[in-house]
Amino acid sequence: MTHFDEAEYMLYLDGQLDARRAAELSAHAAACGDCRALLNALKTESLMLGQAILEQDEPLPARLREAPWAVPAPAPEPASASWALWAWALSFGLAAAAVLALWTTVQPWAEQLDQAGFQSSSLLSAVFFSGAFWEGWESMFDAMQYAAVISLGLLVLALWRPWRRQSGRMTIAIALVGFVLLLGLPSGANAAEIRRGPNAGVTTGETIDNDLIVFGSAVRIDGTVKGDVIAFTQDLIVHGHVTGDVIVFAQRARVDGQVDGNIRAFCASLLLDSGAAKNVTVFAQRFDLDPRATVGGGLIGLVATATLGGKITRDLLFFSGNPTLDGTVGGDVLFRGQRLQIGPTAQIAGRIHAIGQNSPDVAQGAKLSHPVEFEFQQVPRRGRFGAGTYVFRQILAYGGAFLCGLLLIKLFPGLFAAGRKAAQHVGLAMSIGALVLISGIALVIFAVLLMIVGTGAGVATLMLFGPVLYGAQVFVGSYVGDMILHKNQTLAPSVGALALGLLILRLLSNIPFLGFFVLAAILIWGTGAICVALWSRTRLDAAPAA
Amino acid sequence: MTELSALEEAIVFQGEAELAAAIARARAGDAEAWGNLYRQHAPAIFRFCRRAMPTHEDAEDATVEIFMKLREKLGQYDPARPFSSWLYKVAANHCWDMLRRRHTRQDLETGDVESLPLASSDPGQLARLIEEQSAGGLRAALAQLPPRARMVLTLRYYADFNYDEIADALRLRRDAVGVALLRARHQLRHILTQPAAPHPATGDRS
Repeated sequence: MTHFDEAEYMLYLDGQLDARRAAELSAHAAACGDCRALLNALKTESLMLGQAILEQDEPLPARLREAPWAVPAPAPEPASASWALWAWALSFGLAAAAVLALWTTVQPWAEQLDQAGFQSSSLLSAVFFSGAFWEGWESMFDAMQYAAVISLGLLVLALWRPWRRQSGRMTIAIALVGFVLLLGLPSGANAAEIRRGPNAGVTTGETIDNDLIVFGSAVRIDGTVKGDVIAFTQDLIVHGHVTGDVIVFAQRARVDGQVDGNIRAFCASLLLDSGAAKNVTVFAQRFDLDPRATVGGGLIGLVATATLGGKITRDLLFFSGNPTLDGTVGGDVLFRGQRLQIGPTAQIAGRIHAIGQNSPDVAQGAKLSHPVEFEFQQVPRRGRFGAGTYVFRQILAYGGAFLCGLLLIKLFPGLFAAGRKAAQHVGLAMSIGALVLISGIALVIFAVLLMIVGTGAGVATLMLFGPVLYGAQVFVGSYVGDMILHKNQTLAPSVGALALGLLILRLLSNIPFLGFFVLAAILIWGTGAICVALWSRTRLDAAPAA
Repeated sequence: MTELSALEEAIVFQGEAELAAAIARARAGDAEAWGNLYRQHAPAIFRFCRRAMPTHEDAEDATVEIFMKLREKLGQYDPARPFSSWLYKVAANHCWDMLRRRHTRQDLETGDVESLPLASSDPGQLARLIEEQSAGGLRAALAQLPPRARMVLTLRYYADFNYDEIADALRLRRDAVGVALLRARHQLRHILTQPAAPHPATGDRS
């Protein structure tokens, strides 16, 4: 005689077995005492469970006694949520506008960069370098904002409708991965050789068939590296042969060996005796291009003082104070700074365009194929935007924050509610926010440094800053909106209050002089609210498991 | 003995035709009709949430949010179907979404399904344990269950869902519902056999 198991008895009691199986089971239970007892016990158990769980053990809490909304929405016939529709339209429009703006702004720069010999094949490097070298850091922030709004808009779009049932996290992951791919980040680095030590490096005669990452106080590369060299050091000397790029973070760096790729340097001082076969990018206090040196591509520099003696095959883009140009430039020269001095031995094949406070000094004997074009520009750069651009930027900033709020409500309603609650405790939120921000600034600086190299990690860290910036506005904004609309104590997310609150914040932050302090207060307050909310959520989540 | 939930009482009391008329009025924007609907159904929905969600606060929030959703979705209600089951369906989907958002899959389903024996040594034990519980004791025990177990018990024994409805609400395969139910009962038994202690960790303030 085969017994049936507990699971099957439960299915039987719940009417889930097919007729034949049920008949078998029922016949068996009639004959088998043990099974009958089990069946009865299960029956009682279900009954008890049903009764106990239905027990009216708790009255309705006072705040739920009355419907929080006196009048129901006048039932929109297409049953889509009343505000989802315009949230849709808004996000779509904003995303489209941002894409257009990004495209029209970046495209001309990308072309110029291409001519300059700087590969702008990936959108990210184009966005970044165009921002950094052509319009300054402010533009880079704009570019980031466009990118943030585009990605936020896409996220909202992706999450609102088509894949409603899909797990939220999965969709975020897909969208983020998609966005990163869109940016065309450099493909992941192969496993590299890593060397550490006070005098790490590559000795004469030694060959490394891989990328090399090296940490040390004094690094010498005398041998051959068949790959890239990434060095973090106080002193770097590249005397040997590097077939890939040289990326260097150093106090002093000197390259007198052979570099077949690009050189990207972040140094206090950089001395190039031999140059590089491709392009050179340099951020430095002091930069010297030796007269013997040859740069196979273009040169881009952000340097305080510089002497450029060698040969630059393609374009020269230079941000500097008073650099001296004595060498040869095969392409155009674009200079921005105080005063460019063109020495007697200089030869420039392309056009020379200088932007700054003083017109370039051209020594007798310098061979220029074109006359120097000079554009006078004052140091202050504020207020150069037209009214239209200004309004557009404001709308963009507002839209970004609003999209972020919608996203929060949609994805993490619990977190949103917790953040709103946390924002009500102004003192606590402010103090925690201040604390976090001070320690966070170091992180952001690091992220900016990494970003310059184009490392994915840097991008990711920097992207974290965006959500915090927006999130802060969202929490403070919804708090302000609530105060004004008197949306009493319900925790239900109120999109209207959010929209109003954000609008007020945006207006306040545009008051001359005071606006800066308003922004700072929002950032501190909101960051604190985010931290408190995150903290309380994780505590809550951990609790039931205990 | 509370054989009927307050919701069912309300329906019996009100009569089907009256309910349909009230829903129609509320849909048209009648504040009073909406207020009545709310007052009649909020207690049952709150108790549902109180069982489905881990803390009192979560249950309150969920109740408010469910009615907000209902207000938007009232146009989707098909009067041919019972109002209560539609109401619970909306509530179940909302609570499960909330729980899912908060937890990863591992949290929802603690431990390994296969490793837990599906037969108990003493089948009558749970009935006795439940009988010994004070009012609210069972709810406190429910609060300690992992979300899926809590949800499946609430749906089956409070909202009286059938297996298909449970499968739909929890996005489970239909044949996984029985296993989930049985497991939940075992887990409940396990919690009830632990020495009774206050559960400050659950944030329960009943």
